[in-house]
Amino acid sequence: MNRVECRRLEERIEALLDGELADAEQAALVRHIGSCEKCAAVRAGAKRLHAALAAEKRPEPLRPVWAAVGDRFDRAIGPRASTAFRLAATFAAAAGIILGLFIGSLTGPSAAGNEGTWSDIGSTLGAESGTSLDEIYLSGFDGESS
Amino acid sequence: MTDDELMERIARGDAGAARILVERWERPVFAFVERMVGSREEAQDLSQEVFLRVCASARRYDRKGRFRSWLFRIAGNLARTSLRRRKILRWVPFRPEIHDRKGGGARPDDGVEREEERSRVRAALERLPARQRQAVLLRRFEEMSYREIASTMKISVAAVESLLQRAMKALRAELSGNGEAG
Ligand SMILES: [Zn+2]
Repeated sequence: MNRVECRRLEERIEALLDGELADAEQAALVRHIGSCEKCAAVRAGAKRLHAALAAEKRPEPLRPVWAAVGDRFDRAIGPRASTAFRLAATFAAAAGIILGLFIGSLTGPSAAGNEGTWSDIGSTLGAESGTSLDEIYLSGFDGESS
Repeated sequence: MTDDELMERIARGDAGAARILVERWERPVFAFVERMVGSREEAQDLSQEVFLRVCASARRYDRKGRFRSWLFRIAGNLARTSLRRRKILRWVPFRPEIHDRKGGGARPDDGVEREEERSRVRAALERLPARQRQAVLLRRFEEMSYREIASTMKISVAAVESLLQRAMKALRAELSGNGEAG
């Protein structure tokens, strides 16, 4: 038994098993393990832990991640995906806000439930404003029909 | 198509490329984040956040050939920020079964997604300091080299070995120490 080498192995057993040591050091430690019961036990314990971790079941997503990411992709990617499209979207959004305000002024509080949508448009002016524009139209008409 | 090629397309606003990338990486990212924070619901939210940040950073992405390292750095940072935000102390194990039900009211998938009994090694993993746990997850489940872990965590290779050595020693002690008792 060699105290210095035992301590060395205790310090580097993971790197040894992970194949992260230089050849010479690896060879020296392997040689030592061959002649030291204590270090052979350390290695056996380390291997047992690796096996236990490998046997852990992998947690799986509750839902496909894309479902939520796709909804917010345009906003995440931000402006400039296509300059022409963006200009058109910005213009449409501005027109939508004006129209929405106009409808809102006609119908009063009943059309005012969309403040969130308006501020979304104001803050992003991205490719998704087409959808928000639809929402404003629909809510405006809902307000009038109810 | 490589991850780098997909990133180029995402930078041009290609949602189809983003979808391919998300579907390629969602399972390892979710598993990593879930094991970091110990809650499936939170891991779901964080995974989404990881990929939204990936998309948002696509134009500035310049880590050619090292996408995985970059991806897991984002995931690791978000997970650790989340742990800090919840004021989880290093040595206090996180209790997902409590946290996930905190909102009150049964979720529709409650029965299916009920947290199964944690294994002893899993519980020990949750008790590690976050950075040690992060290194263990990247090594043992992502099978990254020490060099790649170093790049992911922005630390030296020697620091990676040190984190792993301490973490695995603690886990070994738990595994053998509780063996007879449990
Ligand atoms: Zn020895």
